Amino acid sequence: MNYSDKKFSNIFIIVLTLIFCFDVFLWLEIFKEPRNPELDFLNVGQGDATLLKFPFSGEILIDSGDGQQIKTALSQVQTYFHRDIDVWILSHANIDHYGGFLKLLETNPPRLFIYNGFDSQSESFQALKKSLQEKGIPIVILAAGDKIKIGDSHFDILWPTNPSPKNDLNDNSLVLRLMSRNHSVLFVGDISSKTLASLDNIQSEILKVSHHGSKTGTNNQVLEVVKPRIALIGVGLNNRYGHPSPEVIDLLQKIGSQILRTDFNRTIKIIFDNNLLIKTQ
Amino acid sequence: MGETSIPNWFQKINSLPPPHQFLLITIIFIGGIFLSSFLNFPTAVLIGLLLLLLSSIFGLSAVLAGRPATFFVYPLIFIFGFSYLQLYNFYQENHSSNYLNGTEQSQVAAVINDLPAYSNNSVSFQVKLLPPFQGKVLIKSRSYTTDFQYGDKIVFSGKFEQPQTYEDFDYRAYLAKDNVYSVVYYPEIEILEHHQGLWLKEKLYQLRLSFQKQIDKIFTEPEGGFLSGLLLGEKRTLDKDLQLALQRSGTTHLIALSGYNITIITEAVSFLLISLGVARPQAFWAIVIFLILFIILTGASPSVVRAGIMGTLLVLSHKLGKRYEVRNALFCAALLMIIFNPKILRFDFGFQLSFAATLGLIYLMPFFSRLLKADQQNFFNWREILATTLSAQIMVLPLLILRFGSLPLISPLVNMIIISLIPATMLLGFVATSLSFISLWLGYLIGFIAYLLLHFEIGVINFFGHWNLAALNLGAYREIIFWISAILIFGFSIYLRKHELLRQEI
Repeated sequence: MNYSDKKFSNIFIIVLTLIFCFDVFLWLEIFKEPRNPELDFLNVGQGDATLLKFPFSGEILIDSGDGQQIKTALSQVQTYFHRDIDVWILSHANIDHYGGFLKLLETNPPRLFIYNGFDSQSESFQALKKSLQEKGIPIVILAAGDKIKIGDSHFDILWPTNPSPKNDLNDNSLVLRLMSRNHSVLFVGDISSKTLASLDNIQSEILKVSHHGSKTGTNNQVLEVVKPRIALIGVGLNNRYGHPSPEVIDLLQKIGSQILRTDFNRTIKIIFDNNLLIKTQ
Repeated sequence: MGETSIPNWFQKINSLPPPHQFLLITIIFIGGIFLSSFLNFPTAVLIGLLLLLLSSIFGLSAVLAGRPATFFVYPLIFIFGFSYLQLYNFYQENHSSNYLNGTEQSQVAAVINDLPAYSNNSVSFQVKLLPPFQGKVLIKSRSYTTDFQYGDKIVFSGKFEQPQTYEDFDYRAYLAKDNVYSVVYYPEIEILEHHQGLWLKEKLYQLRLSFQKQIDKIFTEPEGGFLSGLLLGEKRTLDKDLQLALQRSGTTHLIALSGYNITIITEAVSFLLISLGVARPQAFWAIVIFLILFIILTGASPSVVRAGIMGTLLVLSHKLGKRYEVRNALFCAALLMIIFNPKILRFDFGFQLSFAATLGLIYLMPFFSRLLKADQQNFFNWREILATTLSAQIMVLPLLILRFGSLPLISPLVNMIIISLIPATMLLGFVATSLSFISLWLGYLIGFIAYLLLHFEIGVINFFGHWNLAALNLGAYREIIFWISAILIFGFSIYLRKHELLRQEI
C-alpha cells in the first residue's frame, strides 16, 4: 500500500466513524423525547426561569431571569438540535424575569408571547415589545379565568383580574396553576402574600415561591392554604438582596416542604410520572 | 584588574554582531521606559537630569582617557527611553479630557472609536471627542435602547468623572494606557450620523459582528462563547463561572487569541492559498495582508499584534533571503509596540503575558524538548505539546502570581488535553459559521462536530478549574513569591541559554 492509499483509507475510516457517531446520536435524540411532562427550574442566578416540556406537544418558558445566564442554563436541559421554545410566558415586567427573553429573541424566537398586559416604562421592556412586534410574534394578554391547554395538561390563570384593583407590577404578577398527570404547580411571579392569600383554588403540590423567597411574598397564611410539598426558590448565590429571607425558609420547613433552591441545587429537574421524580445537579 | 576590566567589557559589547547589538540597544531602551513608568512627572525630570549628568561625567572622563566616544551611546539610549515615556505621557495628558473631569457637560459631540462591548444589560465604548473638546472618553450606557456602532457620530450630556481605582484593580491605569482619562456613566445620547470612522475598520467590524451573530445562532452557550473567544478573541459573553475556571486551570490564553491561534489561522490560510494554486510569492503577500486585516478585525489585542508583526517579519525574511531570528523578531515586535504606546510595557497585562510566553518558547523550549524527547513520534504529539506548555507557562508564572495571587498547579495537564483539539475545533467552528451564511442547516450540521469538541473542552476546563487544588492561593505571600519565582526563572533561563549554546557547539 503506498502513501496516498494509506492516507485515503485513513480519511475513509474517519468519515465512516463520524457518520456512525452522528447516526447513533440521532437515534438517541429520538429516544430522548420525554414520555412524561417535565419541569426544569433553571439556574439563572438572581431571577426566575422555568422550562416546561410536554411530550409531543410543545415547550413553555415561564420567565427567563435577567439574561446573564439564560443560554447557559437552557443548554443544560436542551439538546444541540432541539432549542426552540414554542411559548414564552412573562409573569410581570421586571428585568430579572424578562431579561433572558431579550437574549433569546434574536436566535430562538417563540411562536407566542403571553403576559399580564401591565407594561413597564423601562427602555428594555419597550425594546422587548417592539422586537416581538417587529418579528410578528403574537402577544396575548391573559387574566383570571383564562385557561391554557397543552397535551393532557392545562394551566388555570388565577390572577390578575381584568381590570385589576392593584397598581403595582409585582402585585399584578400572573398566577398560573398547572395541572399535569394529577400533579399541580403554582407559579406566582413576585406577587405579595396578601394578594396571593386572597385567591381561591391555590392548593398545589409544588410552589414556585414568590419573589425569590422575600418575606413580602410568603407568609404563614399562604402556606397553610397552598400546602406545597416542594418549594422552588430562584436565587443567586450571595445575592445583594439577602434573598431568600430566613423567615420564609423557616416557615417552609415548619410545614414540611422540601426546599429546592437554584443557588445550592443549581438546575432542578422534576419529572411528572405517577410520582414526582426530582433530579438536581 | 579594575583598570582594564571596563574597556575589555566594553570592547566585548562593541564587537558583538549587529543582531546582538540591536537586542542590547532594545533592552536598554525598554529598561529606561520601565524605570520611568514607576515615577511621576516632576520626580522623573529630576532623576532624568541626574542620569544625564552622571552619564555625561562618566562618558566624558572615558573620552578624555582616550576611549571611544561610543561609550556615550548606551547610557544615552537608556535616558532616551526614560524620557520618551515621560514626554509621551505629558503630551497625552495635555491632549486628554482630564480638564473636564468633575464637570457636567451637555451636547458634547464625539465619534465612537472602537467596538462597543455589550455585557450584562449595559454597553461600553470609547469615543473621541470632537472640537471644541479633546481626548478620549469611555462611555457606559444601557444596552437594548440603542444599537451603537463603530463610527457613529453622537452627542451626549453627562458628568465626566475620573476613573476609580479599586483595591485589587487599578482601573485608572488600565484606561490611561489607552489614553482614556475620563468616564461618563449613563449619559443622554443621541446618534447624529453613521460611518464617521475609518472605512476599512468599519467594514471589518461589521464582518466580525455578523460572524458573531451566526455563532450565536448555531451554538448553545457556553460553547458559542468559547468559540467566539477562539476565533475572534471575544470573551465578554462567557459567564463568570467559566471565566474563573479558565483562569484557575491556566487556559485563558486560548480564548484571548494568543499567538497560537494566529499561527493556526495563518497556517490554514496559507494551506488554502497554496492548494488553490496561488504561487508562493503572491501567497506570502496575501498572508501579510490577511494578517493585517485580521489584527484590525479582532480589535488589535497585544498578543495578536505581536504575533502579526512576528509573522510578517518571518515572511519578510523569507522574501529577503535572510535568516529569521525568532528572538530578534520578538524584541523587534515589542520595540515597535512600545514606541507606538510606551505605557503598555507596565500596564498592559495582555502584552506582558504574550511577550513572556514567547520568551519562554525561545529560552526554555529547547531544554524541555530535549528532556521530553519531543522529536519522537508519539500519540497526538503530546510530548511536543507538553514541552510547549511548560515553556510558556513557566515563563508567565511570575506575572500570573502577581496578578491573580495564586499558583496554577493543574495548568500543564489541562493544556495538554485541550491544545491538541484546538486546531480542529477552530477549523470546524470557522467552516460551520461560514457555511451558515449560505444555509443555517449546513452550519448546524458541521457545527455539531465542533460543538462536541467544544463541549468536551469546556467540560475538561470546568472539571479541573473547579477543583480545589487547581490553584494554590498565595494570600499575603503574593509579592515575595513573585520575586523569588521571577529571579529563579530569570536565572534558569540564562543558565539554560548558555548551556544549550555550549551543547550546540559540541
